Amino acid sequence: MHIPDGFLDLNLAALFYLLSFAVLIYAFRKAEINPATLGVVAAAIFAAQMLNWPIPGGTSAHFVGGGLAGILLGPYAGSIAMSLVLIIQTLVFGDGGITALGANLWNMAIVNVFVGYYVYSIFRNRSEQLASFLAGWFGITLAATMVGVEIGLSSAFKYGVIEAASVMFIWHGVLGIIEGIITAAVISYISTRAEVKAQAPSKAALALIAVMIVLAPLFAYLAELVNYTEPLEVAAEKLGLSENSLWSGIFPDYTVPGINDYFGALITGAIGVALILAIGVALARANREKH
Amino acid sequence: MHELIERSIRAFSEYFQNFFVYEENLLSKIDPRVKVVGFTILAVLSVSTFEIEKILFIIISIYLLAFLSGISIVKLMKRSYLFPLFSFFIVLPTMFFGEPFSYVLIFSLRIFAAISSLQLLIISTPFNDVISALRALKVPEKLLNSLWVTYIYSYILVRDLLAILIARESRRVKRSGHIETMKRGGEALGLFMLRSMEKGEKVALAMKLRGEPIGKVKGSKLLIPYFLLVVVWWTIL
Repeated sequence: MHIPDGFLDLNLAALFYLLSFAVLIYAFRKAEINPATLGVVAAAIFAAQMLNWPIPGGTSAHFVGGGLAGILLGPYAGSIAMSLVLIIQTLVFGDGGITALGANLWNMAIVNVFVGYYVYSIFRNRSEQLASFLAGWFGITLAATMVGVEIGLSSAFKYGVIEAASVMFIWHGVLGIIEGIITAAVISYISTRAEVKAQAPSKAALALIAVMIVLAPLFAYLAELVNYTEPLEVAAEKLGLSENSLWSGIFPDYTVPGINDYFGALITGAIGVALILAIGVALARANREKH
Repeated sequence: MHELIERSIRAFSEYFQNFFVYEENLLSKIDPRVKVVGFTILAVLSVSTFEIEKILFIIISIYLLAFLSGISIVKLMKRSYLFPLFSFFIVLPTMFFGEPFSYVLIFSLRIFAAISSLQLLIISTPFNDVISALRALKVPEKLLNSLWVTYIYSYILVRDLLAILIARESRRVKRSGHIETMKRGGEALGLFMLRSMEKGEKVALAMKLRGEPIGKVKGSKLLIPYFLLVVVWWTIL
């Protein structure tokens, strides 16, 4: 389920870095767990992921464990533990791309964990086993469907979103049964020996993250629609309006006159970043002096 | 459950070969900050174009760098070819929907370029150097500490998990089907997770007592001009 480099357009990759970081930074602040403990639990999830479960037909399947992490550690610590696993898998084992890391974090560390947690919270009063089975199944299936949506929307990958998302949904819907059974067996074992009571997050934050997960495909669609152009330029094109600049600026259209366009864009980008950083540092210093 | 253990041991050993892939070479002496940023830029350049000359240029730059550093090109290729090949067969049917063969080839090549870039980073940089580089790039300390603990405990916990599975298997007296294996294996995993959480708390306390030593950044900027040259040439192409 790890997306490698090259499947996602850069604008989509950047969008999912942004979405993932927004949720993970919040989760990191809220998670009430020591970094070392979190690291060891993440290593345990990493080990559990490597188990090769034999399935009928002579083949085997891997356990992902996002739903389990959400139930055992709560969504905040669970999502961070899964992120640690994914970062190690990318940087040490080359599993998943470095440009696609944001999307992989979104799918497996956020969607899988939070959906697993939501589903478990909804059904746990009826039956803990059923709740954990559904958490495992829904978590992995929706995360895989999200992968299908992301690569399907990407213009680099020529299959459409319906084909990609359907294939991922059907395939992982079947494999998700294994994920569900294992999650239920683990939780059933643990709940008879210890209390499964993860940190309860605030309802407002959970609702906001749920909205982000639901709207993520729409964000991705819009990011792909806008691509490298400006929304206003797209609107102007649709309305048949043309540009009539009074002053084209020092660097017209992010280029440096007389220099190759790509190179010019790099130079103007560097100047822009340097200017914004300088303003940010100056404001931060001014604020510090004020206090 | 023996099948689960056998298959898993095979997967563990294949996966943990990556722990021994790092080798001392010219590139490994370079500042890890430069390598992390530089190879990330090469991966980004690889996937931001469908122009064949630019992709080939990146591939040549990566393999030239590997050659100049004394890294085996065959080894780098062996570590990079599998997923591009898999991707090639995934996108091959698009030819039936009107996509030219060049698309299939270029799609796979850009994946090959990006993966080669990441693999060269992995071969030439031990993970403690990557952590040092991320620290120098101001990634939060709390995250880096967790990341480091995950890395150093992954092998130990795999051993713990295997020990639990083998102990349970040695006590089994009757045959079990797939569902039974999943249930019993799930229980073993439950025990493993409980023990891991306890171990996590002990490790946290022990680390608090001892402190957490993590390697320091080495100072060398030899590679910066090379990465700059590749970026500039890529833009001009």
